[in-house]
Formats: sequence, structure tokens, C-alpha cells
Amino acid sequence: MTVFYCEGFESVGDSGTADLDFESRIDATDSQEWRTANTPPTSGLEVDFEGQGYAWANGLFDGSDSQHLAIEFPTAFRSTSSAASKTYCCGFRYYNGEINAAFGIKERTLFYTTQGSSLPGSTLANMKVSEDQLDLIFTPSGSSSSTATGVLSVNTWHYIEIEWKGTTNGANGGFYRVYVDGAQVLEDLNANMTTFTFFTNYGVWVGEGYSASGTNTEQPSKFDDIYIMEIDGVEHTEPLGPVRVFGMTVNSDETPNDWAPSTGSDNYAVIDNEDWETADYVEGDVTADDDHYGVDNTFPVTPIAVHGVRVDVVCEATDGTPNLHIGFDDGTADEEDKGTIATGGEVQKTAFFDKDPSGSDWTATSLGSVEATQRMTE
Amino acid sequence: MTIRSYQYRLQVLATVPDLNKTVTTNLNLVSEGEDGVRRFASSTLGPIGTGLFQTALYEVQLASIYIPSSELGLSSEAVAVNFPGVESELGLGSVVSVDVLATKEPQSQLELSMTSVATFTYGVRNLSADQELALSSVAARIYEPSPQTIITFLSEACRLFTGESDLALVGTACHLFFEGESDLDLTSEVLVNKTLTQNVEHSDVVTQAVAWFVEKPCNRLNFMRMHGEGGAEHEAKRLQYSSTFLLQSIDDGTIVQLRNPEMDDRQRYAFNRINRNFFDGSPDVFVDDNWVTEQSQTYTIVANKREKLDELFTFLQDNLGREVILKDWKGTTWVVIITNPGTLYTEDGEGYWTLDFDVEGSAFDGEWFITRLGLTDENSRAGSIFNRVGSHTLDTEQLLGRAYDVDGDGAPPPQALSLTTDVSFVIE
Repeated sequence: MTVFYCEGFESVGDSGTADLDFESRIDATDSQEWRTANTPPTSGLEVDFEGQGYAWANGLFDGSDSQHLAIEFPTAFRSTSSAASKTYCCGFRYYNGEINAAFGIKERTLFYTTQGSSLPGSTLANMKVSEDQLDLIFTPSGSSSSTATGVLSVNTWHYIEIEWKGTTNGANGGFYRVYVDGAQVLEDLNANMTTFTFFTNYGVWVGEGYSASGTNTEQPSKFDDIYIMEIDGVEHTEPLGPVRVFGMTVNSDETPNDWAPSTGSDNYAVIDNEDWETADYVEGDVTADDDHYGVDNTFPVTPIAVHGVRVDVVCEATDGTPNLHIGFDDGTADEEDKGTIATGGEVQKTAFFDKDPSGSDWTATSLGSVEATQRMTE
Repeated sequence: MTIRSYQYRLQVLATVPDLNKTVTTNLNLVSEGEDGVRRFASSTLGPIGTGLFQTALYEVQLASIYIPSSELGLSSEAVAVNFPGVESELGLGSVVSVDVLATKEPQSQLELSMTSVATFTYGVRNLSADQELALSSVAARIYEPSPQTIITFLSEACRLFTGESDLALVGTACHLFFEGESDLDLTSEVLVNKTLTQNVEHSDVVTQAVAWFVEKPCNRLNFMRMHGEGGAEHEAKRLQYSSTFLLQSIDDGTIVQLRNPEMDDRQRYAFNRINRNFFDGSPDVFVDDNWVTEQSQTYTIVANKREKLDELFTFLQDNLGREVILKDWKGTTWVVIITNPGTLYTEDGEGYWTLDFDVEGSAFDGEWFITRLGLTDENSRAGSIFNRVGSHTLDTEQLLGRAYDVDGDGAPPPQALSLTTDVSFVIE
């Protein structure tokens, strides 16, 4: 299973000039930075969404590609040759504060906001807002659409989930199911999913804006817990339910504790700070240096199904060509070699684990029973 | 080879319970008890708020059990809030609070088995009946209140005044559950036997001054004329003076009494006479208007025992220079100032002492009582030659009974005691 997700963002709709903070971008490539980089965003307001995690409040999007929050897929994920057989599931939580706002979904632009129904580009789905209700319009093939009437409301958090299976270009045989707040509102089990099948350029982008023919309109809205996952052809017959992105931190040192902290004696305390600094680090300079940490698995709401855990490490090689291994260990190591770390600049390394080291599905309990690890080889 | 890690964080992608969804489902419970009576219960679960699911659930969960009136012959209704058994099956940690408006089980202790079906109108993941909500529940009714209730009022009302309307006992018995009238045998006995204690609080000193005079006490005397032998024998003359010699402090009410002593009365009148000779040689005499009533008195008390001597001397020392009440052996009351408590006491005989002291003051018209009256006190007065013995017991009728019989009818003098001070009666 391949999963991409990001925490969310908010548009306050106060300007026609896009002010999206691209530090919020989360993707699967190692070259992209994490949300909090060395230099925090200089614009936008930090927004604490419900539950754990937060994103940034930004200005109004204008609908151009350069002003979208991207979930950028790696090249393999953008494959056009085998995508027809893949099944995807994506979802997000959406909050709209204005009755005249709308947003759409299309390739490269997962969520796109416009005014009225005149959406630019090849719209896959849009949420059209009339004066008294919010309709969800889903357009999988770009030419035909189906509408779920009155399933959305303003000033309310909605959880929207779409599951689909692609088809070859122009052919039927795919399917889609659209859920709003856990209830299925649309379904086509023999659909032409042309525009949903291929992610030819990047992946999906998240954004909102106004129609090219429209005017700037305040469209304050919030997106949270955005994810898209390839579910390897397994067809779900019911929604996953509300999916949230929880942040976890390391909260203790475990044995071994080989890496040397730059300050103090607690390795975890140096690297668990939210906004990292170059002066605070743990350092491994001997092959097989291994650092283990305990994990804080305190959640505001106990998860009932864990789809995966991601490890993100911001690191740098100061000399030589060391390799970084990150992962988990509960007696059976489950780590991923992120390759050689280059010198001269911090990079973010990411590994996603959909099983715990024992090979079992993650549970709320196992999240706190394993040790997070990082190790150096050369 | 060196790697520096600046940050290490974890993120979890997980499905969580839908806490924001309103879930409303009806829990229909049907049960047939041992008595063949079908019981129906319904429960409404929801709406579910934004808090924990369990919390929201038990807050709104209500179960009502309706018993068909035709089968039981009673029109009854029992409302159970958060019925026990349901709570345990759901594991919701709900508050068990059973309010049953009935006083007795119909047959015996009955286990009410309930099977339930929960239907969710739309799919809410992880809220299906076989996972989170096990709505197959058994509710056992083990609550069997006693059919008999004895209500005992142990109360006693004892009032001398109006009492009829103060104690109102209103009893209402509602028997709405299960069997007929025989089951409801509320034999209540109300014993109204309450003692109401009447406390009388008087913060003020209730004082009274009662004075009256018998204008013609001698009218009762009959003089028998006798000449020579024969005639009636002279009635033995008894000393009428039963008064005591009493000193009382106005300041704190301390009383010192001596048995009716012979005072060796000596009154010393001191006054200034102003004599002035005018030019013509004739004397004019002027007097002070008050000189008659200002009297210096010297009391000599003989044959005092030592303990009485000490008591009296202490009183004289404590009240030296103060106004005190002095009632002399004749019953005349004086308001005096002790000017000299005496300096030399002599022991005339073995254990018998003589003392004297000086006071200055004026006579008080009538008789002075400074005794703080309590309603249970018994006040006795010693009479003087003008005021005879009187005693009374104050009761709630606020009448002063005196054993003074002027005209022989035994009635107390009207308005002998008038309680006009602020006295609050507190009746418990």
C-alpha cells in the first residue's frame, strides 16, 4: 500500500494573491522538506485543527497550478501503463464558511475551489454551492457527472471519501464510490474513470481558487487530513471512516543509545523539538551506531484502524558517505535503508510502515510498544 | 562518516471513531416474563455529540417499560432510566439510576430478558452491532422494593396556644404498578404526639416594680373587750416581720441576705442648716430641698457567723461606692451608696461577729425587685409592714399568682405583673 497525505490547510480568502505556504507540502520524495523546515514559514497563520496536528492559513488561491498544495507522487506512482488496474482511496475533511464557495477535484488538483460551476481544467468532481445548499458533483470522466444534492453544509466539518478504480482511457470498467460523513452518496460500479486513472505530471494537487471567468470572492475554507492511498486493487465496500493524521514524538531513550547528542544527555529531547535547529542534533559516526527511542502514543481519540506510520528524519552528513536506516524495533527490526546521505545541507528522509515489526497490522497499542530507531552504516 | 539528525518525528494515519456524527437508533426491547406478561421497552440512543461516544450515549439513553394495563388490571407505568443490564452489555460505563414508580414486584423477583435489534440507518463504520455496540442485552430486574412502608411520625405537639392548623399531615399514596388493590396495603399510622418546646428568650432583663399598699390593713383586727375574768383569750401575737435583710448589687445582681436581724436602728440625719442674720438681727433659716431624703445610715449587724460575715464583707467591698439595693429588716427598700464598708469587726462570742457599715441613700417607694425573671423562676417577696408576702410561679399564661389575700377571695391582684418588655417566644 502506498499512502500520501498531509495535515491540512486553511484558506482565509482575504486576498486575490496566492499566499500558500509550500512548506506545508508533503510528498513521498525524499527531496521535499517537511512542514517545519529550518526556516519557518514567513506568512500565513498557524491553525490548530481539531485533534492533533496543524497547518497554515493562507490567502486566496487563484486556481493556477503554482498555487496549489501538492501531494506529489513519485514517478512510479504516476505510471500510466499499469494505473488502470489500481484502486485508490482518498479522503479529506472539509470546512466551508461561505455559501457561495465551491471546490473541485481533478487530476493534479485534488481539491479545487471555484465560484459557481464553471471550473477550469478537466474537473473530476466539484462541490457546487448554491444559495441554500451544498451539492457534491462528481465528474470522473470529464464529460459525465453525477450530483449528490444537499449533502454538504456550511460552517460544518465534513468528511469526504472517494474510492475508485481506474480504467484505460475512454473505457468503462472502473468504479467509484463517494461518501460524505460516512454515508454513501454516489456510486457507479461500471464507470469511465479516464481522468482519474492517470496522474501524468505530478500526482494530485490540493488547492482552491476562483474561476478564471469569476472574481475574487472570499471563500474561507479548511482542508484537513488529506490523504490518498493506493490500495493494491483491494476493493472496499464501505468507507474507511474518518481518517486523521496524528503526530507522534519520541519521548524517551531506549537501549542502545549510541548516537551522541549535541547538548545534554537525552538524545530524544534534542531531536523531538518541533522546529528543529542546526545546533541541536544527535550524531552517529561509527558504523552500526544505533539509536532507539520510546514513542508517545497518546492520542486525543483512540484510533480504531491504523493504516500506517511514517517516520520523518531531517538529517545531514557532515563527512563521508554514511547511510541512514530508520524504522522500528520490537525485537524484530523493521527498518528501511534511505541510502547515502549527502553532505552539505539538510535533507528529509521518510519511510512509511503499514505493518509493525512483527508483521502485524498496526494497532493503537502497538504504536506505543515498539521502539523507533535510526542507525548508521557506511 | 558522520550523520547528524536534527529531527525525528512520527505520524500516524488512522481511522478514528466518528465523534461528530449524530447517530440515532432505536433500541426496541421485547420480553416475556414468567408471568406471561409481555413487556416492551424502547430506548433511544443518541444524538452523539462531539465528546466521547460513551458519554454522549448514556446521557441520552432512556428506557421506558410499559405494562399493558389490561393484562394487569392496573394502569401503571414504570420508567427506568439507564436500566441495569443494558449498561453492562454495552460497556458504556453509564450511570445506573433506576427510578421505578412502584412499590412491589407483581409476582416475584422477575428476570426481564430483553433481546434487542439495533438498526443503523446508514453505515457508520465501526458502529455496527457486532463490533462496538453489542445490543443484545439482558436486563435483570433485581430491584424489589418492599410493599410495605411504615411511615412513623414521632412527633409531639404540645402547645398552649393555637395548635389546630399548625400540623398538617397530607399523605398521598400512589400505587401504579402491577397488581391490584390488595397489594397496596398502605396501613399508615400517624401518631401525632409531638412535643413542641416553647423556649422563651428574653435578652432584656425583665424587671418589675410592683408596689401596692393596703390602705386599711387594720380593718381585719378585731379587738375584744374584756374586763375581769372570762371573755376570749387574747390571740397570741406573732411577729409579722418575716422579711430578711437584703443587699443586692444593681451592677451584677449579687444578693446577700441575712436572717432578719435586729438592726439597732440608728439613723443619722446630716444636713446643713444655713443661718443668716440680717441687719435687723432676725435669723432666717434656709433648707435644701433634698436634705430630707438624703440619709446617712449606719447598720450594725450582730451575731453573724463567720461565713456570713465574709459574704457580706465581700459584697460591701465589691460595691463600695456603688448604688445597691438595700431592703431593711422592715421591708423598706432603699437605694443607697455604700460609703463605708466598715473597718473593725469584732467577735463578740465564739463564732459570732458584729459588724457595721455606712450607707447613704434614699428610700424607695414601694418595693424593688431586680430579680431577673425567668418563666420558671419562682419569685417570692417578703413583705414589709405595708407589703406582704407574695410568691408566684410564672407560667405561660403570664399571670402572677400571689398568696396575697386582701379580701379573702384568693384572687391575685389584677395587673400585678405586666410583662411589657420585648420577649420572643420560639416554639420548636
